[in-house]
Amino acid sequence: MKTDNKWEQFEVQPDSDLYAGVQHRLRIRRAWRRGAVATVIAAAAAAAWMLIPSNDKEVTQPMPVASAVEVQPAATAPDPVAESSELAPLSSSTTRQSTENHPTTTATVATAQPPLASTTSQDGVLDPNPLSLPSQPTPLPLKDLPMGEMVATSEADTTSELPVAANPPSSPTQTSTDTIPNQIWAPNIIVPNGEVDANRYFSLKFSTSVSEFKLYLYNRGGRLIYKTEDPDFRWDARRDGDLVPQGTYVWIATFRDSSGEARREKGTLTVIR
Amino acid sequence: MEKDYAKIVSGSRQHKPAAQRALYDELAPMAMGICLRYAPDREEARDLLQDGFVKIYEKIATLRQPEKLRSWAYNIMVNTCIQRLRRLGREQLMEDMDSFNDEQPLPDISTSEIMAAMESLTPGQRLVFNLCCIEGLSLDEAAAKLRSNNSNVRALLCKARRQMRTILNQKL
Repeated sequence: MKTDNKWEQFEVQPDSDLYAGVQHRLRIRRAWRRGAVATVIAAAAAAAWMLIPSNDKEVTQPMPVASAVEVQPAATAPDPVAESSELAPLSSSTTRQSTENHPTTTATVATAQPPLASTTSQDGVLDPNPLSLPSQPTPLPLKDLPMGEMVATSEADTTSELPVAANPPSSPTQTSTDTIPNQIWAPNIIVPNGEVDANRYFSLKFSTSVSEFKLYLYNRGGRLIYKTEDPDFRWDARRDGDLVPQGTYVWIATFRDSSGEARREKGTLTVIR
Repeated sequence: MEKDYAKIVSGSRQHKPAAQRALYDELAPMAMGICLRYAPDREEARDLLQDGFVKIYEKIATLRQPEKLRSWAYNIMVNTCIQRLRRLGREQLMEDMDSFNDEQPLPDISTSEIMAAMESLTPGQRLVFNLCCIEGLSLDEAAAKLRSNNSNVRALLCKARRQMRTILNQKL
């Protein structure tokens, strides 16, 4: 259409991270054409089981990892010390986790924490019930979740590894769960209509038994979508029988862990259809 | 002096990562310039760039003459932008048709000032301004590309020019 030089004055060097995004989209489209649609979504979303941190400081959700392979406790370690950015870099979380894993100090590791300070709301989520939402940074906005422009470290053929994502890692790379008791695991993304059965439901996994369990799940508008008192619940992303809209949801769970401590955990959940 | 694009084109066709990367590096600045012109903001521009490149990579097999790479990619980019902006829902195109004869030339200014001023245009105005004043399409060509009619395009263009002149005059 035009010769090269005419447009030189308009040329702008794009940011360096854009190329990775191009490759990522290409990969998804290729897999899409192969027909593995829902698997692609799940792979791209990298439904990862997140170690839910329990602490009294600003809770920062570890960034969901791109590859299901990386779903190991070390990689998704909580970041107890407040980081202003809500996307705690994986490497720093890992090191922090390792420094805190002293086998001798099981009681203090990220478990028994004073009650969280209460604020009015997080990201506009209103709280109609007596639970006061602890202060924390806003849940990961949708655009920061792995769908989209992330550097995909997985070679997108992690479909075979998706079942891994569904289960909390049974052999954590850091010290085993009995030195860090009372952990809970939660998925950050579910695909209710997906092919991978493991990613279809939202449930929590506990490393020890819990009692007095209550879970509330809210949408971003603050409306209560789901509530349960059964720790072995499994939510199929339905409300009154209908699938809930795609989007980000926030859940809060209160319970007593095996040591009798009252705990309040929260996390975000993305529903992808 | 034409660069030799044959290697990176054929390499990209065979999905060779090195060639694909080279293709991207070669075309990215030009593509970014296009997207920044058409997109309402930087985020949208980044998105358009990625979408455009996805199209380029997927259609690379259809490029028969590697030496035409730049203009071919240019067309793809521009079409990507237009398609996206068309989907954004056109604002009221039936603008007031009075001042058609507002065809004075725009003042001579630097590119960055022009691009900054373009940010104040509405999406439709920017689209038409891009096509007619920068790309140099005629009104009929632009109307064909946008699948609209000539008078709509002309009205939008007048509004765009008037707006640009106002902004640029303020800066002078």
